[in-house]
Amino acid sequence: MKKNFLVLLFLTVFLAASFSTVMAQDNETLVMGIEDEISNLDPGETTISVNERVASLIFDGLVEYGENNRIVPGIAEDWTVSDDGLEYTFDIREGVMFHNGEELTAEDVQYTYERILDPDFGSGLRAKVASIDDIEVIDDYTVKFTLSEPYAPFILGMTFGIVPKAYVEEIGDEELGRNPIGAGPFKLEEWDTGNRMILSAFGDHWNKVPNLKTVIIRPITETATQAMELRSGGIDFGVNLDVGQLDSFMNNDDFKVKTAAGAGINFLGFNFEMGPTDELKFRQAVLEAVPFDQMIPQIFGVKGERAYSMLPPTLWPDDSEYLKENAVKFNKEAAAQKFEELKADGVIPDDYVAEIYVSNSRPNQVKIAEVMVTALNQAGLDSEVNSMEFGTMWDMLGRGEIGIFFLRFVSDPDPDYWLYRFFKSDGSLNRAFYENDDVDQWLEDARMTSDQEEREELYTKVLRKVITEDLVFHPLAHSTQIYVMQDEVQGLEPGNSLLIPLVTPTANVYKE
Amino acid sequence: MQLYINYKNWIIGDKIWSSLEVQVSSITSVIIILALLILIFKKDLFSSFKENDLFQKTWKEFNKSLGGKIALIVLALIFYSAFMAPFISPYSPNAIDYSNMNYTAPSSVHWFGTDDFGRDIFSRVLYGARIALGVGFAAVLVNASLGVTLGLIAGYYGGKADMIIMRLIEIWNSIPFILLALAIISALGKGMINIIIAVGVTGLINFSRLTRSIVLQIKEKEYVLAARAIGSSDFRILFKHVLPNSISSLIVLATLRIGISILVVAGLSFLGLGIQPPTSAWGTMLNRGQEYLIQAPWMSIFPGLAIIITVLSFNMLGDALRDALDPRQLD
Amino acid sequence: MFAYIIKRLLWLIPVLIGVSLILFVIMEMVPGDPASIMLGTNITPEAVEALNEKFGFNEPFHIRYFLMLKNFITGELDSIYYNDQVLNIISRRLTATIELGILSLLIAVLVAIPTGVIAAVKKNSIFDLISMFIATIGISVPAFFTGIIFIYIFSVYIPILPSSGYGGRIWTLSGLRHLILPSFALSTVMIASTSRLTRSAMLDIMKEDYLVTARSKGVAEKKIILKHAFRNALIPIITNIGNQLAMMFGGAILIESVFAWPGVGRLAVKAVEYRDQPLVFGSILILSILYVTVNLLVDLLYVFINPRISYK
Repeated sequence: MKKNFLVLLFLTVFLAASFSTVMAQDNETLVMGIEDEISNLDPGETTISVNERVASLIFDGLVEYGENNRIVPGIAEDWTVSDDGLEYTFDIREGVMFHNGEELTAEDVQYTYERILDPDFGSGLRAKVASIDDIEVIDDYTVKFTLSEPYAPFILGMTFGIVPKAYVEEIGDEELGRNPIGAGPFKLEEWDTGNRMILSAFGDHWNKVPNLKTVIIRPITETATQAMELRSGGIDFGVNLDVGQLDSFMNNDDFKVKTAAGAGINFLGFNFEMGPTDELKFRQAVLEAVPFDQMIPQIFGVKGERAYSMLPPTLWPDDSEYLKENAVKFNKEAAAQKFEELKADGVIPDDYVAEIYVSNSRPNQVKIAEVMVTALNQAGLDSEVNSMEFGTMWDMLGRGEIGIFFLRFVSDPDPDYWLYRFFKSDGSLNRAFYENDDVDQWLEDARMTSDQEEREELYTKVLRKVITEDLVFHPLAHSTQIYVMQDEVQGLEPGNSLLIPLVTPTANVYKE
Repeated sequence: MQLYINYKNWIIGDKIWSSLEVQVSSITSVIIILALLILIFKKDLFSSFKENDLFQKTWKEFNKSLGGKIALIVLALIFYSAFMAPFISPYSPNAIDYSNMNYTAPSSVHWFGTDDFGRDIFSRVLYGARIALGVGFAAVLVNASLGVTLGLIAGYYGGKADMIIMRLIEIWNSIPFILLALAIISALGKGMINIIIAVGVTGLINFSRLTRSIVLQIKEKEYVLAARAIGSSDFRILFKHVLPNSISSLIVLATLRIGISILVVAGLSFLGLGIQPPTSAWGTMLNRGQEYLIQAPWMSIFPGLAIIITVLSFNMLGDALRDALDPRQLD
Repeated sequence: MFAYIIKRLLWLIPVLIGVSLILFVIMEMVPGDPASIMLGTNITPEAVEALNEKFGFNEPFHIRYFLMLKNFITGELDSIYYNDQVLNIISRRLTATIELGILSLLIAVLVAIPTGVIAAVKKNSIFDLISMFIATIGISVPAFFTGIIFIYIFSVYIPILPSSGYGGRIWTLSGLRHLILPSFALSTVMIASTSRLTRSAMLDIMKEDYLVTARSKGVAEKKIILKHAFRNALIPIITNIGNQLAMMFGGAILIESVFAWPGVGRLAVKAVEYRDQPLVFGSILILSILYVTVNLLVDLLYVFINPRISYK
């Protein structure tokens, strides 16, 4: 009897729970699904993409990204650059408030950047502003940066979120990452790591008060689950669906799918320090063997477009015509013949298996690797996919143990960020171990000058050399940034992959 | 085993059959199925084999269980398709038509439909049986040989050796197996052999506990005592007397563990640590199919069914064997 | 009895040391370091060096191990990826993991034991055959697949339950609603194995002499089954449930991923991915301790069911 009662009780509770109304959704709350757990919101430390994007809601920088990723005034009303390009003076707005009610002054700006510049702090952002020699507070609302040498993309480093000096000094760096206080449009209300984060609108924001009163951010790693959540109405907006899932949202009136080009470049790279990938003929044969032009549109679908340049289409210089024409074309027979010859010459050892390394967190790259291996095997080169955790692959890449690899790279909108680190002999990301004096010189020159035309010319030369002549990297696809949202979400436009554009100089998202 | 999971020779061409091969393979299939049916329904087939009483008794018991017999046929078919995959699969599992990479629904041309690369799912499922069985068997082999050895030593020598070994195994077992496999694969790298090792070294406790308890029972039997009295070496006693007596229980456990290993490999695929593409493995296919669950459910349903049916058959076979062999020892 | 509990609790110490040593050695073998993973494409040699210094990675192997063990015990171990103390991070997740485990256990017990008993009593009936066949299927399905199908059916096709996430404590309505799907998905394996085991344990007991005697004396069948047989069958059933529960806390990883459930298992996977050694260390140790504790509880439960067993 007792047991029957228990069963009955259990059933009642279960049924009551099942049929009670789905949580009321009001139109001032936006629930968004994000691809990974947020771990740290300190804007000086966040180099992990999700952290960086969420921190951008809480913190504002001196300048901000506006339409088409142009730099527009943020906390700084205006700024002047000295003629030699070594001095940047910023005029800070009066009355910009932090979430704790204190006013933002030049001291806070100075503190923010000195913290990042401190080598012991170990910030990943340091490299972007390493050219700063001195930061001088002129008065409460004026701050002057002096550079040790001209650095053309310097202004992009001024987008970092400004932290309140008094608060950070009081509670320490670690605590800032947990209880962030900034001057951004949203403030942190509640953070249940791994489950959800609740942000509320900051009423005293210097620019505009968000239309959304509450933003809930939920990490949903499984893309299939995120797609289901969107369908069931559990989230209003999701960022990381795979191609297959996107298809089912495209022709659905209840949802909007918005895309923006240029969220990163997917490319294939070769190692110049090990055989046989150091041989130009081998690299050529590999590229000829695989029908990239045919398969990339089919694999990436709406998630990307065929790339011929390392730079995203939104960035200058636009040289894709030339690069496209001079790219290696699919030619299976020629490739097979080259492999034959290379084997005969002993460049390809008898037991050689071309291992293609790819990170298992990038499903589209894994798919390309899969097709590539099939094609290479058909052309007579034994090959295997080696899809592994990013951490392992990154470590092996750093030690130069990988011959052929896939990577995806995204950075700020200046060619220097995209090219210098990869192709400069001592560049921090030169995982191809590529060395060329001309390229080094061009990259260095382009950094020193702020003349736009001259820079365009130099970067064009670099791109032509590394992509079409030396075949260091083979660009595959520009990732597209894709937002899938419920139909009632208005004003949300993808554009910059470094932020979540809920409240920007040009947008203020609301729900109908 | 190595030869068996040698998957590199698969890409033969778009169509890997000629009409002669089809005929040969279909005739062979019919013969095998007929033979199996006779085996199942003609009960007295083996009564002429008088040489081994134990075998006969087991067979008689086994014959009583319908589930066990069905499982046996299904497994035989799965083994058959694994061995004969190149001949019975209508298309190559890996060849891709680059101009038309898209999924299509099941039809008379593609029985199970095609995946997002336009590859025939039926063929891929057939080839996937090789990987599932190969990895499953190899992992259990690793698992059993380690577990049995440790169990034998612990049970036979007793005392300190017993305590230390069993305690170590318990410690090893208290690490969640999926996490252990994950960490091992991260350390060794992906690849079929490493997956086999990772799955093989987890869950040692089942085999070692079972072996140990059997050894403890047998150790005191007269013939073992006698063997020891006439001076047989420990090694000889273990392998001549103890192991043969525990083999039946071990077979039952091994059968059940194969199913579990196949599931663990599928689970690892879900975490992105399964068999490398383009090799057609069920777990990897199932994981890929999730992406297309709404528009192309066949991409996940068929590999999923393949896993379920195979594991189910191993479990049912294990149950039937347990009933047929001595049931007491496994509790 | 008390001495036995103390002895069993002392057993935690070698487990702790053994598990931590195994983990430490494996993590040492895993390529990649957290600094370069966290920096990603912002990597510079100086930044990697600074972070390694900060996290203490430049110390030799044994010093790092002892430091980590000491910090774990004193609760001062800091995670690398998450900007917090390991115990803080885990304690929040542990609630979610335990709630999921307990509800699954409850569902499994309520469904599996009656099924198993009925199947044993009505051996070879239709109910027996069908329920045991379903149970065998239950242990043959990959759990993550069940999870995804559940989400599709119960929150997309017939939208009555939320599809993922943690909704609050188990006693709140939202918390319970969020728990239902994952705990059902997680309990399938347990239901299947427990009902099969209940059935076979019952069958074994019912063959015993004293039951045959009782029956021949004319004791009512219902009383025989519930009073004598079931009570004796409980021991293997509880052992199995204990084992399953202990495995479940770790094995729930796949279900946790499918349902975006903030549990310890998913945390451990994340930690391995980011090479966050202290967190791997902490989260897996906690799961191991949980496993040992559950096993201890199961052993103690025997005494209450069957007073004849005593522990010296």
